[in-house]
Amino acid sequence: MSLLDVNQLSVKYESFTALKDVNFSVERNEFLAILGENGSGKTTLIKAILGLKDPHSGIITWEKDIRLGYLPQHLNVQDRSFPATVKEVVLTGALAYQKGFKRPTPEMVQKMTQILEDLSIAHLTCQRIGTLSGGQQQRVLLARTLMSDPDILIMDEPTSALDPSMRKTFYDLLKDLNAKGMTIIVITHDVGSASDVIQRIIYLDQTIKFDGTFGEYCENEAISPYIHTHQSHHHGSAQ
Amino acid sequence: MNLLDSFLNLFTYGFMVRALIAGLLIGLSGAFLGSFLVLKRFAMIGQGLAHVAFGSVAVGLLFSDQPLFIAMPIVVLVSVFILKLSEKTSVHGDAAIGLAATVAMALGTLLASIDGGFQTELNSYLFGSILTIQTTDIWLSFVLFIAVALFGVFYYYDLFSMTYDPIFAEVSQVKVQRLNLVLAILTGVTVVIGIQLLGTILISSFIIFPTVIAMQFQKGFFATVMVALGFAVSTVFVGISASFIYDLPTGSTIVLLNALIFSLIYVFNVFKGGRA
Ligand SMILES: Nc1ncnc2c1ncn2[C@@H]1O[C@H](COP(=O)(O)OP(=O)(O)OP(=O)(O)O)[C@@H](O)[C@H]1O
Ligand SMILES: [Mg+2]
Repeated sequence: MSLLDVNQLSVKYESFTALKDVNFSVERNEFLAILGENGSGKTTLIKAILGLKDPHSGIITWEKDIRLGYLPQHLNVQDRSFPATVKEVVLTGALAYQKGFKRPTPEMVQKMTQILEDLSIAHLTCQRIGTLSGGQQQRVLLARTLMSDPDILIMDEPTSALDPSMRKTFYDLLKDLNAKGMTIIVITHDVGSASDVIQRIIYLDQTIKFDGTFGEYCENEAISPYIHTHQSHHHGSAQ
Repeated sequence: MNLLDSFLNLFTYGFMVRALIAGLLIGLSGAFLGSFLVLKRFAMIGQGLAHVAFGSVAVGLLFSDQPLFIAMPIVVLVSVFILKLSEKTSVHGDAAIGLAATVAMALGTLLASIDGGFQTELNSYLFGSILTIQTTDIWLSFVLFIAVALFGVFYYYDLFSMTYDPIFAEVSQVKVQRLNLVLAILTGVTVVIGIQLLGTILISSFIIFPTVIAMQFQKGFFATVMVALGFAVSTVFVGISASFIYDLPTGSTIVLLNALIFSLIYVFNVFKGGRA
């Protein structure tokens, strides 16, 4: 059985059909990128598989007792005056799955220190999260997700707020996690800086227009220009 | 008689001791629940529920001389209803609070005008009175306090997680809906028990002020909750004592004391250059 099975998935907002007849499965340890233009339904797809948006029809099946890690496209928390330190926020990632009486353990704190160092934000541990820059906050939220040891890490444009050198570090980190067995799904407009880690690509435009390896994707005339010209509009080009 | 004597004199009055105990227990409960409600942007739920409580008390007075026992289930139901609405993003929580509050107030006022007999009694629920606190109320406050404390100690991290980022909490299998339900029930109970002391008009200050004051210190979440609890205890204690010694209305004294503290800290922060 696959880690995730999506069967004939359709998702609607009121009467607007955002996704239609989506079928794919994800195996353990895959590194999958989801591409597509703005409004093609990438975020919607992720929300549906995470159970945050009810499908209109179709079946989504997860392997049993899977731990999901999710890094949203936009920070859910916009309130800069929210009183919470980086440490408090990051620890919730590990505590979420702790059984019984929840309390931070020394092992958790140690692991947190390691992860924050890997993401070069260790010096911010005791700062209030609202005082951080967008890219720093995004890294804090990634750290929170990693604290829970997810079986699968699902990220929605995780590099959009990161500077180029941080992007490199970030993808190196993902490659490492993937090598250690973590399954990764990433939505990105930035395949360029991730080309050496992405194994499989799904190209989305309301439904799956392409599903194959990175190499096959580059050879596919109809959609691969997207890789170089993703800023420009070319509606219907994937037809 | 000097200030110390008048202060010590307080404790010779049974009703003062009862008011202090009930006040501290309700104040701590309100402040703790308030730190989550305020940060979830549900600060006004206390105000709304207080008005619902007022309307329900009016209904209750028609049937019994213990109207709070009739008000309690109604307020708790409305509280659950309002917080549940917030889980569906298409309905605005603040609008729901406003509707429930005004309908309940209208109902209460109407009933009072039809049956003039209990108008004065109803008035005591509008402004609260420390004279009305009975031993039963202390037991109720105590049970509430214990329930809130257990809830807080056992679910602190889940509550924090879902307050900071409900979507993350839900994805990581925190029981967000169940926690919201308990939060709503405890908030409803706090408001109903609290209106005897502070009155309909001022009870929400128990929920809002401690957290708003504590947030001025710009600390982490745990520190903010602790500071809020500290201010809740001290303002209730000083407020009730002062209102007795200087013969002032209790609710107003507590609220204005909070406002004074808030302003002082705010001004201090501005001068320190902390915020504009
Ligand atoms: N909450 C919503 N209500 C109504 N329509 C929505 C909602 N969210 C998304 N949509 C619509 O669904 C479609 C897909 O949106 P989605 O956010 O999934 O796109 P996306 O591929 O993630 O785009 P982007 O690259 O800009 O993030 C869009 O046409 C959008 O207008
Ligand atoms: Mg998106």
